[in-house]
Amino acid sequence: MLAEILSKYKAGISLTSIILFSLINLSSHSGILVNSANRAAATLDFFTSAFHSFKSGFVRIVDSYGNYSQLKTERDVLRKKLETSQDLYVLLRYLEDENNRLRKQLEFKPSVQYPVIHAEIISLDPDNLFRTIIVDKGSDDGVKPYMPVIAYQITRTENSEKQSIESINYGVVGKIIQVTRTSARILPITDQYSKIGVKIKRTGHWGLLSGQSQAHGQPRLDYISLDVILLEGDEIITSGDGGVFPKDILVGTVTKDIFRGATFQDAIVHPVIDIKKLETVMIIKKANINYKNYYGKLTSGEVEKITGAEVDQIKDGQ
Amino acid sequence: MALEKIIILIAVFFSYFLQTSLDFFQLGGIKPDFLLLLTLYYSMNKGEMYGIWIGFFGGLLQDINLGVMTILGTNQVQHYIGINILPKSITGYLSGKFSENIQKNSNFSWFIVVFVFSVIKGILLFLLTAIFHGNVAAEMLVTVILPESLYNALLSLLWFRLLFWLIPPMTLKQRNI
Repeated sequence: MLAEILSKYKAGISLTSIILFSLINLSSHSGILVNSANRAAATLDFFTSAFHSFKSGFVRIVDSYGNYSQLKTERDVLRKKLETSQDLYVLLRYLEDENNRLRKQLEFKPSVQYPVIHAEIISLDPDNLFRTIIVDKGSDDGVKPYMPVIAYQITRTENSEKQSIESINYGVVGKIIQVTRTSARILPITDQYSKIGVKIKRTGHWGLLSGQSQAHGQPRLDYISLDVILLEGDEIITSGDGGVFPKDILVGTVTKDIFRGATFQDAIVHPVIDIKKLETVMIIKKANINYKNYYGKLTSGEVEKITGAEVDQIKDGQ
Repeated sequence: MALEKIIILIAVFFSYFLQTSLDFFQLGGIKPDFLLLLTLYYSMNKGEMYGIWIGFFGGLLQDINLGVMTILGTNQVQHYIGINILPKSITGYLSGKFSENIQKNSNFSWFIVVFVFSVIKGILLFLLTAIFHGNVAAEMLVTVILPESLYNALLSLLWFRLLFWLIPPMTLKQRNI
């Protein structure tokens, strides 16, 4: 009897069970669910990484059959570029020496340099409504939650004479939010949950950069005093406040969409890095003092690690 | 039976990898929903039970991909398990029920069914995001969901033919073809 009813209404029962499962999960934030999701993510990322390797290998094979003459032309162009860059290198060394000399004279502390981990993107945005970046480096490589992520990106534009101009952009991508042994998830600055302390490079005023929903695509700069005259093209850099990002890293530029409210003004910011075209990123090995708030239970060893030398380093302002 | 389940499992994983690892299909910042296309393909040809469960597993993979994070300072945990499962399973069920009496091998039927159910899935996802995560703009319905639905519908004309070739109709329960 029961078997007959179950068989007759199996589709309805299946759907009801799935609806209940989804709603209970969405409303609860239990540790078991979170830990299970984390374990499932580690497994899924392993397969994603394998698929990515397969794709990369396939692309390399296809590329190797590329036009020989095109490669020859590229080689000549690169040779010329190398000659130019050698001159630039000499100039750079001269400027570096001069910079160090002047810093000493002014008794300025040199800007802190952190080691970086180079990582390749293996997965990007599972849906059009949400944003996630998964990279192929995890806790085995020293990646920890809340480490800042930056990237270099080459962009090509045309000038008025229709000549192609290549420029290298360097800027913030986001921060690490979840780490497994072999992979890590990045929360991009454009995501609605992303909030970064920033400042306007030209004026030095502080603000908050918040990601927005997918419909907007670009983050919003909030809480800028009405006294500040915001201009289109103003560069926005990290303030270093909040303990996640080192200061003075370029985030983006102010667009023409500037809104003056009753108490503050805000503006839409065009990120310097086009996340949809990213292939590789750099994870800055900078620990965060709030790491202990990372979800799940930390073992005493992990607490020891984070409350030891790294916290002292942060307290020292490094 | 077991072979069929293995084929479905492979198809689900392959669709997931296509969606997350390749940007080849991206047009104007919009990418098609391959997992939804697979759900609709099976629900149209094999019925709502296939739609429900393929939708469930496809949605689960997407939800796991979205990850878990703790909002600094608040200790509030943010996760997405359920947000893609629910719309995809409901869409799988509805498309299986409503496509019982339509012509299965017609381009026009595919286009209409895929477009309508992509819109339904998009609206459900939008509502769930608004209820459980907040901060969604109504204009997403026009700027994201509508273009994605149109893209899914257009791609289905080619994709369903490919699926028919890869997973031949003999293995599918033929209904009203």
